[in-house]
Amino acid sequence: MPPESPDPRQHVSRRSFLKGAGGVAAAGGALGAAKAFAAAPTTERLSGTVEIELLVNGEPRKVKVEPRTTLLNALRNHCEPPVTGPKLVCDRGSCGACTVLLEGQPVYSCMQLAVDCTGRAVTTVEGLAVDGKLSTVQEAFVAHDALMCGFCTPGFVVSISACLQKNPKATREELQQACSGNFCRCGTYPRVFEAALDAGRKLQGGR
Amino acid sequence: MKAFELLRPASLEQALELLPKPADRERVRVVAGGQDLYTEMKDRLIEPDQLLDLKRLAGFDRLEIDGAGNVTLGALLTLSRVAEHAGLRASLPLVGEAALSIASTQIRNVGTVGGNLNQRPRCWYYRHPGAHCLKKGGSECFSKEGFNKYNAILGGGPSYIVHPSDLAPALVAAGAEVVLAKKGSSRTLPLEQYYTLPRDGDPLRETVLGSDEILTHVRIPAPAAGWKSTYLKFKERGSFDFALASVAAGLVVEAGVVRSARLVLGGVAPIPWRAKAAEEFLAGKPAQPATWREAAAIALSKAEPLSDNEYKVALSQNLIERAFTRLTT
Amino acid sequence: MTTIVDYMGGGFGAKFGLGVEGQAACEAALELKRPVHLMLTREDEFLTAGNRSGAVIQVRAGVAKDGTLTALQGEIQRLGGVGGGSFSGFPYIYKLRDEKGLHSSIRSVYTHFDAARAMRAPGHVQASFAIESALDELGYLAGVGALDIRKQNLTDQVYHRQLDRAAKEIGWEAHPNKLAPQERPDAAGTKTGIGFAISTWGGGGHEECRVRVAVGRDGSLTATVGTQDLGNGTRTYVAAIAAEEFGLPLEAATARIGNTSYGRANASGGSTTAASLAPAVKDAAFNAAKALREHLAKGLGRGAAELAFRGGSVVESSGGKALMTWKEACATLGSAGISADGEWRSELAGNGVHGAQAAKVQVDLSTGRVRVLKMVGVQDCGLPLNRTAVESQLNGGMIQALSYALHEERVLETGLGLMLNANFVDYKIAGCQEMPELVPLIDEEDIGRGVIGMAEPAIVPGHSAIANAIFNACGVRLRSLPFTPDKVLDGLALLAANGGAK
Ligand SMILES: Cc1cc2nc3c(=O)[nH]c(=O)nc-3n(C[C@H](O)[C@H](O)[C@H](O)COP(=O)(O)OP(=O)(O)OC[C@H]3O[C@@H](n4cnc5c(N)ncnc54)[C@H](O)[C@@H]3O)c2cc1C
Ligand code: FES
Ligand code: FES
Repeated sequence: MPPESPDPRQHVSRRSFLKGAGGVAAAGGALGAAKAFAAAPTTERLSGTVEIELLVNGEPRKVKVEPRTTLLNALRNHCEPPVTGPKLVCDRGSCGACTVLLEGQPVYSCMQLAVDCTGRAVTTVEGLAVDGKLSTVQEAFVAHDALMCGFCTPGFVVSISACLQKNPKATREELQQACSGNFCRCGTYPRVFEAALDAGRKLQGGR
Repeated sequence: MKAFELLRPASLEQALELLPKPADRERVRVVAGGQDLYTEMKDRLIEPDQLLDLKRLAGFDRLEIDGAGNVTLGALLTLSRVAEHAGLRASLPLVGEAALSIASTQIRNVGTVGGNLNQRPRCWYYRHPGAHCLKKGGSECFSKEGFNKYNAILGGGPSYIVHPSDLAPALVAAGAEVVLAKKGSSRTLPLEQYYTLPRDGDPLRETVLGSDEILTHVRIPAPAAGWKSTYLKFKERGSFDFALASVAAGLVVEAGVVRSARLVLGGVAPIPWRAKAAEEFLAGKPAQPATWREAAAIALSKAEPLSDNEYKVALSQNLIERAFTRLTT
Repeated sequence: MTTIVDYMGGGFGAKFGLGVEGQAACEAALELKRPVHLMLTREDEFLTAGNRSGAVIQVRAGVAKDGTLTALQGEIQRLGGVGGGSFSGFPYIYKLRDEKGLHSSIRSVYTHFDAARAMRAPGHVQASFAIESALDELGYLAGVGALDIRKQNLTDQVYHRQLDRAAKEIGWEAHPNKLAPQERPDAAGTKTGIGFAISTWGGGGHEECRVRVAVGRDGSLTATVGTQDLGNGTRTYVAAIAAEEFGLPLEAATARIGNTSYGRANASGGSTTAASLAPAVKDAAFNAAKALREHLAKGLGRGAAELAFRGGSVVESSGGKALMTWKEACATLGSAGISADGEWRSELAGNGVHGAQAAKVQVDLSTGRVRVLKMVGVQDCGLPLNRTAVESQLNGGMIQALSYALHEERVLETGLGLMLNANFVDYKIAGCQEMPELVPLIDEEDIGRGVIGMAEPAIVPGHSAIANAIFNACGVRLRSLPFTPDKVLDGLALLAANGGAK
């Protein structure tokens, strides 16, 4: 049986994110925001603009967002400097261009509220490189010319990285299944899977 | 998406307190993974003032199998965890297969059991902000005379939606029950009775869930000895897609004879469609291709296709035959 | 006004005109006197940014016993919304020996939908489907088969060569059901078939691009041109051509493109960019290299013709003895470095390509699902500038053809005046699970013709080949796109009713 994925709620830290900006108050009355979190858990209410801290590629990033702001929007338009690896294409969880890792799991960042991601590690395609050196999967994409226009590429790199992280021996079919929520209009699929299989071999052989 | 207030109850009790009265149903919406709800909000099909977020309720994301083999799924369990659970796959393969057939990795990592069972229809008219159809309080189901390739062939009228959930037919076939909590009480009912046909209930909704209720758990009784099951989903496209038609099937076969059978169809009716007549027919029949063919014909005998979806009849029949064949070879 | 396009995503059409979206962005920028970022929703994109023209085509045709076309009539209605629509002519590529047997009429039917715009190989895709379907059908009726009926009506031997190569690669020789659909399904309840189709395209260049190649005192090498990139192919060959002229690796050259202030360039479309631009880059690089040689010759006290650039050095052109490194050579330049302009050279570009594709499909008789198992594309393009990129374009063309063959359809609800599926859940495009084995083959036999664009012909024949393969598999002739399970099942039911299917 595969290990159970971590319970996301354990990572939601009650201290880390909410500054008492507009609209944050405890359910039962006029408690100051800071106090509300120390007290027994009550219903939190968020509205208006709130300041939150995201953990993006290992770095804390303070952003001002509304509850409706998606993680993708926060990364691209509210972070300074912006994080533009994840791309906005459909905004409906149906293309994969915005894929990021949330606590190591691929998710569509256009379908996450930014306020739900505080205290959870967000990894974008930029964060896969280690000390400025491309990751094995990224290198394989370059070596196999696994992109044409490159718009879908960040999403594919993230999805494939997560799949190979779980199982470096993933077969072509398993990789295709893992990426069946990623679409490429240019039709670079053959080279994408060549690159992925090659990266898998390197990951098995290496460390 | 219209701006909203996000409410994050820390306990079920708090959540139940915050549930709206029937009149406020559209103002306050429950959200779990949001993978369906956000699309409705982005398309402005719904514009709630408040979202009641269930994600912080502790203990509702468990998958438990007791000593006797009874299974409990928490409403907040993600679809990925259902799909990957080896114990569940061994005893009730159809549930894991159904979970794995849903959407994409990205959505399964976030979408929940409760959200999947309560997701809203995918009829193109319902989903189009410009079509004020019956499902949105209008006077007409446009699919009846319009584009209806993906719509219902069974149980339709006055609305012809098909229920989009893949988990639902599998869980109905497994005889699952749902637990619904409201302030001060809870009730348990068979999942089969949770869904309502548009002609029997409010055509604006697909379930009997009250505005003051939350689905907290799904319970699946331990399968009978020798029970084999499968979920066969047919998609127009291999990469993520909703079912054109799907079959959840279960069988107990002894000495070449069917002892009992379950047959539930997805993608063809406004609810997971239990083919009871076919199930009754199957009991006591020899487990062989001719039996499956006859059962398939019985299951679809009441079909009333619309102008563009007659193909679903043959498709469903073929899938039924294929599912039973898979279970017996 | 300056237009800056560093990266534009894939460019598959609707690029010639400004469009309402372009106008809106310009007006907003002028009004605000600030840069404007306009992003269309998917729905806006489907409704206002242009779509491929539709067409309704009726064909009647007759052949002699040997498959020679004797009579051919086509009535074509182009559906371009409020625009005229596109259609590339009838018959497409194939010829009647006696033109008297040919009749065609083309009309535009105007509707209230937005004007169709160019989409990868406008007009050709529609024309291909009509003639390739009709001819295929006649091939079976005449008993000559899908491959020979084509060759019988093609005088251009390049097509014979390419069709034979595609046939070989797809496994036609060993294919059991060449003259009729597969009789009995295999154990899995499926039938397998092979189909063919061909394409043509211009892809020639024009006298439009002005390119500047500059060498800096620091050793930098830059090629500058105003055109934008569709993907990353243009950027790559611009740098490669310049680097090659100076005997330097690709990384040593920088392509500056995607900015109208860089100078005149061609409008992007018609697969004309490579054939318009590459000769001008070559010309500029040649001129710059000549100027640099002349400069160095003076300092070295030799004739310019005695010098050459090779392997990162300046060498003797005969013998190859290294005289100085690239860095040393550049250090002798003045602060302005050296630069030269280049223009289009007709002798470096060709015009007109062919193309043949074959598809192998499997039809599931229970579900109507068509799985494309393999596609082979044989494509000439004169001189391939970058083989990897040409193969990727060929793959991409086949994949897009597969995508609209099996899935893509804009569903317009005429009663309500709505497009019902203007999103990526309901407007389906092919994804990872749809990918067949793809074999992109570059036909290099006419390499001496110079550079010719090939991105558009790559998309033309795929859907026709798939339709023909479906017939070859199960006997269902699908006459409208896309080839979805409902249509296949309806077709199979009709066959069964007529006593045709087993
Ligand atoms: C691109 C795409 C493809 C998809 N493909 C499929 C598919 O193939 N098969 C399929 O079955 N589904 C599919 N879905 C639908 C759906 O999003 C997912 O199945 C998912 O399970 C939804 O779960 P969620 O937790 O994100 O739900 P949410 O979006 O949070 O909730 C969905 C609905 O259920 C209600 N709800 C949530 N939890 C509860 C609860 N505990 N009690 C009462 N009501 C509740 C919400 O108010 C909301 O109306 C797809 C969605 C997308 C965007
Ligand atoms: S932009 Fe998020 S899935 Fe398309
Ligand atoms: S490379 Fe262009 S969309 Fe994938």
